[in-house]
Amino acid sequence: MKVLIIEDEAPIAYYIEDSVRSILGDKDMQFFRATSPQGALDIIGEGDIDLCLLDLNLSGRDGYQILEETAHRSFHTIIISAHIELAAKAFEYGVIDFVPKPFNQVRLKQALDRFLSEQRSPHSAKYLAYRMGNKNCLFLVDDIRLLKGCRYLVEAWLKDGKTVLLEKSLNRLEQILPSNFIRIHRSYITPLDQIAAFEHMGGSRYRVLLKDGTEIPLSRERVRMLKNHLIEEKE
Amino acid sequence: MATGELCLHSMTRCENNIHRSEMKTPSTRILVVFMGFFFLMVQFLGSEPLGPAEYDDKKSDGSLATHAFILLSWKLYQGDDPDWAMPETDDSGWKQIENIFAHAQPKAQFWLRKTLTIPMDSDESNPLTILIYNLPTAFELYWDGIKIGENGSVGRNLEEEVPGTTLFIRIIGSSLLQRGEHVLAIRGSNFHVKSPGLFREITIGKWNVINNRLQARVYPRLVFSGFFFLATFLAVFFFFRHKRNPSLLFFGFYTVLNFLQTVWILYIDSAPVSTPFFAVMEPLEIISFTLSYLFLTFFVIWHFRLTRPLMLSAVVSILALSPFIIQEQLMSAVNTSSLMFTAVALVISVASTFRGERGAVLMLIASFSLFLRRLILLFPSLALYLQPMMTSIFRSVLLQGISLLFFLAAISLRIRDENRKLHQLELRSRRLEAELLKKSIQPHFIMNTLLSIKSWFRRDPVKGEAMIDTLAEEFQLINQIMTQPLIDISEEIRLCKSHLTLMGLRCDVGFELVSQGDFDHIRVPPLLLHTLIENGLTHSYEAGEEGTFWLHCRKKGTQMELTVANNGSRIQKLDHQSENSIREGMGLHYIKTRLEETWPGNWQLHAGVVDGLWQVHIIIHEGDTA
Repeated sequence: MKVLIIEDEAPIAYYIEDSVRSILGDKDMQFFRATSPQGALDIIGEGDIDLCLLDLNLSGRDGYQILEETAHRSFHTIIISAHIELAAKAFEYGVIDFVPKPFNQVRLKQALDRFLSEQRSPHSAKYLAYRMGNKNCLFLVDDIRLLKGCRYLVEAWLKDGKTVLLEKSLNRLEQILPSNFIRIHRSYITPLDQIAAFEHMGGSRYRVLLKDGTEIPLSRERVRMLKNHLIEEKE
Repeated sequence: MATGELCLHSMTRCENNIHRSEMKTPSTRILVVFMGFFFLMVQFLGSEPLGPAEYDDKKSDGSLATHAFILLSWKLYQGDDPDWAMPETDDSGWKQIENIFAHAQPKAQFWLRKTLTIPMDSDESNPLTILIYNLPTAFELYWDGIKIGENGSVGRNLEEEVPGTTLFIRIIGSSLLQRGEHVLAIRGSNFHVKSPGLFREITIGKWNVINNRLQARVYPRLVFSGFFFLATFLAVFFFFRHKRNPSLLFFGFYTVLNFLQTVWILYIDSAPVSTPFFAVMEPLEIISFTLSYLFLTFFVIWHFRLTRPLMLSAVVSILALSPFIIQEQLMSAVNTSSLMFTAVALVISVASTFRGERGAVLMLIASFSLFLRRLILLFPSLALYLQPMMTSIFRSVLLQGISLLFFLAAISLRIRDENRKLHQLELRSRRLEAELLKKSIQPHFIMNTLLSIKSWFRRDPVKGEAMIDTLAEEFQLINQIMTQPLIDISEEIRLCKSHLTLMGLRCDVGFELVSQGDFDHIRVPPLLLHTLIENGLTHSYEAGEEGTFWLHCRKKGTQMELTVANNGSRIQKLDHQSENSIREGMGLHYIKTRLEETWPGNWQLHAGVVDGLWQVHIIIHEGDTA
């Protein structure tokens, strides 16, 4: 596992690294350290980071800059910062947890567990991002009709008809999306309000019909879950 | 100025303009209140039953029964002959004076004659009375050839003459008084007068009217002497509370001198006549009179806070005192001088009103009243055209009363403004203290530092301990200095060094502070330099980069220069736009507020790259420390 720590004060960076190591035990881990936004982007560009631990106030700079730059990436981000007033906005960009400084081992473990066990983030994202050429583009989560997992990427079908490609896996996206987004299939996530109906095709095959007419497969294991969600919605 | 530089200076003028336009309405309210007082005062002082200046024989409408008349037209002859008292004497060859107020007295023996027609019979209970006020120097009064009174002793020369009293009243006995024509003659001499002026008041009327007139002279003066006394007391009291501006002290001098003059005039009635009326001739009186106007002008100059008041006062004094050297007649010199002083006060008030200064209208009315008073007394013929308002003595006191009231109004307004400003300063001080506290124990700073200490525990516990000690030291220092508006710079330097040690431990690099220059007796607001150093640490250095801060201090007379420079590498690669927005953050706001609080309007701040170092340069003009 590759972990990137973006923190400008060396003692704290080492402490974070030591803490993560001791919490995660013997896992095969590689740590990288960046002290500036540019340094971070360089490291990210080189390899596949799995997890990023980010301090929002890097040498007085605005930390959201980094979030905006990295929101489209495949890795998850945990913020470790003394500026708790920045938490709400950070979650809008889709971070998986916000650990206030000074942290203790218990709290850090909680955040790391969230990452590892694919639990949902305490606050869902408002924006997702994709890369177009050299630009990072943000779009609202509310504009999503359907998320379809492809081989290495995820297709996001938007309400305006556009289709964009996201780098995060469906598992990782599921962690930061609001609870009204349902994983109806290994390869599909859709918001509940987009579902018009679902039907049994016979045998173990089920199908969901979206309001726009799209038909997508529904896993047999998830039928019950979907039923429960629909009933809850009706109530 | 190179790109990336920042230049700030005091914004007092701008703030003043805002202040002025906000506050115009209360000034009108005060004006209305004082106008009310003014009208009340007019009522209180009553109306003076003085009729037209001349007693008109042809209009024998009995008005002599209810009015007193100043006798204006006379026949004058220079010389002396006892026969001239007789009614039969042919005075057709005598000089006819139409207006005795406009005619200069001869410095010799003289006779005045006048024919009167008395329309009614005498009345024992309310006899006809003659009032002669301040007719120098000695005279005898003849009614139809009979000597009815004398004031002093008429003489042929200085040695023979004995001056009479200023106030002279004579009741005309009923036996002398019947309906019909009578001849009033005055035999006088004025050798005691140094420079004779114009003739003064000779009035005839019924006793009750004359008596009222006398009372009307005294009562307003008593009231005014009280006003002036009280005003002096108030002026001096408030001066000691607001020692910065001497305007109140000058006003106090003005009022105390007027108090003395007012009181003096009450005693002058029984004083020997040796002087014309405008002001008493004794040098002390002239000096006090002139000085009172001098101090009045100084008061106006300092009240409006004109630039270079000392030079202006000196120039005005020289100009307005020059009549004493230029003019021969002492009395006219006194008049010209006082007129010039009040004219200057008036001009300054007018200019200030046009500039929209707060309370300037009040000062304008007051100055104008005084100016008018001087002007009218200078041209008694002018006064006649404005009669009956201006001829009587107490009416001129009325003008002075108006001016006193409005000056006091302007002063009260100023005092109220100062109090308000003081109150705001107090509030600002308290706010600054709170800001300082918030700044110095910012949660982010503490949280990061605590985490840093934790970090050191595992790797190097000694450094962790050192961090705790340094943090404690920093808090102790802040606690000591935070309630004071100014601290010795050595304490601030100690605080900065402590902070740099702490930040060095946090970043695991070395930060140091080098101080150069003379630091004796230099006082700065708390956390001023600390904030600059904090800013430098945050924005100038890359992670892991060690740094040096230089503090340079120089004092040139009343000017103090502080320079804080650092060698952070990030400064060289500034993105100007983003840096500017960062600069306007909390740190710089705190510095601006502190500088403005301590040296309002007297500071400048420049920030930019100089010789490869990021430098913040503060220039302070001391002298007027809050």
